[in-house]
Amino acid sequence: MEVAYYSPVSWEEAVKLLAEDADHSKILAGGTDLIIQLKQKNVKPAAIIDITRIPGIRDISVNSNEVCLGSAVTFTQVAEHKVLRGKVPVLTEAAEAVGSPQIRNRGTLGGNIANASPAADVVPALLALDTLVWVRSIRGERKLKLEDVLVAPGRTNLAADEVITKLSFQIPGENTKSAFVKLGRRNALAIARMNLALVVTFEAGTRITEKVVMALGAVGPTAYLYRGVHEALAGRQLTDEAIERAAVLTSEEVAARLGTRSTAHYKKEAVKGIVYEAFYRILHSEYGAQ
Amino acid sequence: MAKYSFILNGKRVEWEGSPTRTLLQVLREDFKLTGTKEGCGKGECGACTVLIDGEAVNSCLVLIPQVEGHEVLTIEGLSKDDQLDRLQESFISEGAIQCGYCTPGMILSAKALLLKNSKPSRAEIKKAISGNLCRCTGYTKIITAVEKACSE
Repeated sequence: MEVAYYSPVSWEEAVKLLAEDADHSKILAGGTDLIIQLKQKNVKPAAIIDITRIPGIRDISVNSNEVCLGSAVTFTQVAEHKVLRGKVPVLTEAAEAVGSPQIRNRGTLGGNIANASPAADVVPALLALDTLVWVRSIRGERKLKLEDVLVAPGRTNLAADEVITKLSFQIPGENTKSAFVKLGRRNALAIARMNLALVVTFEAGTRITEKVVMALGAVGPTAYLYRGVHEALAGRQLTDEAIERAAVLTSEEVAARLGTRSTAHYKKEAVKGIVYEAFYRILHSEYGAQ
Repeated sequence: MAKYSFILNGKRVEWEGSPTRTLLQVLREDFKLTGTKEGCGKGECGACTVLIDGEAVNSCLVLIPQVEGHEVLTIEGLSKDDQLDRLQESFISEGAIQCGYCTPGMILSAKALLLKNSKPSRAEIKKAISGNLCRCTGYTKIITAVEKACSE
């Protein structure tokens, strides 16, 4: 049976096609995950629905308080977007960390979420930005918090007939700085062994942290928000001792998460380094608010 | 079976076949353009790099319907009437080729960079070829070759 290939040019058309045989259809955007799965026969769809020709699906819009990203915005588009880099460097750095230039030119934000790898690079950044995921089916449209979409490796809680249409998040306030760090076995073409997104809000004109949002990836079945550092640091000056405390807490969290897994020994030590790196960037970055 | 039309090395072409064929397969097996190589088939080596609308992509991860209406450039399309591109000449003159297997993809990744940035820094060159693995040369002469192609 030949696989059917569709290139809908509207969301109405796309969700209708998807509903015809949702359990045996696959959405195609960048293809950098799906095509590997097709080749390895991990998936055998009856239909492939290429959504990249839907108008607006690659649009990035930034207004005074919100960023809206079409689900097929590529990592390269994010990496090259100067306004995004100025306002949310955590997302830019995450997009730049993905794979290689060739992968970044095709891979998409929506795909990074839908593929649900525990090591997905932009997911921690999007989590730390409190991103909303907009989803559509023939039954209508709904939006979910990203943390409610992620379920397990390779699994989201989206229905088979649902497709991600766009993502949105509020632009962090003036006194917020952010950074992303990825630990891979090499500088490029590497799956993250751990990644970390950090968004820190300071009290205006000071180094007193009001809020610390930290998302950890590749240390559990999905990336997730770790609140322990915020609890320890909120209302305090961001000194070297405070950062040291944050590193120790995160290390304990990673050790607890990984339990008796063989990776625990390495990751619970290595995570301290990426915590230091992330805070260093936050304190010294020219991007984000002063 | 379906028909797809796209621009290949500057010429409009039509192709008919299964939509699940990859661009790499179609280029090599149907158009007989064997300059583009398969190294891993998973987007992890860059040997299959071609340009789509001037951007470097792993052709092993592109399904043929996705290039409909777009422009594809392979290594064969870089030279014009036996006249080599500056990049090709500098790879030769700088000794940046040993077995040659990574070379087409490497040159095309560099080409994509030069199309956007005619005077890249060394760091920018390294980043542009970060998706292309070479097992022979150790990369140094490749980077020098790209620098040389820019300075002329």
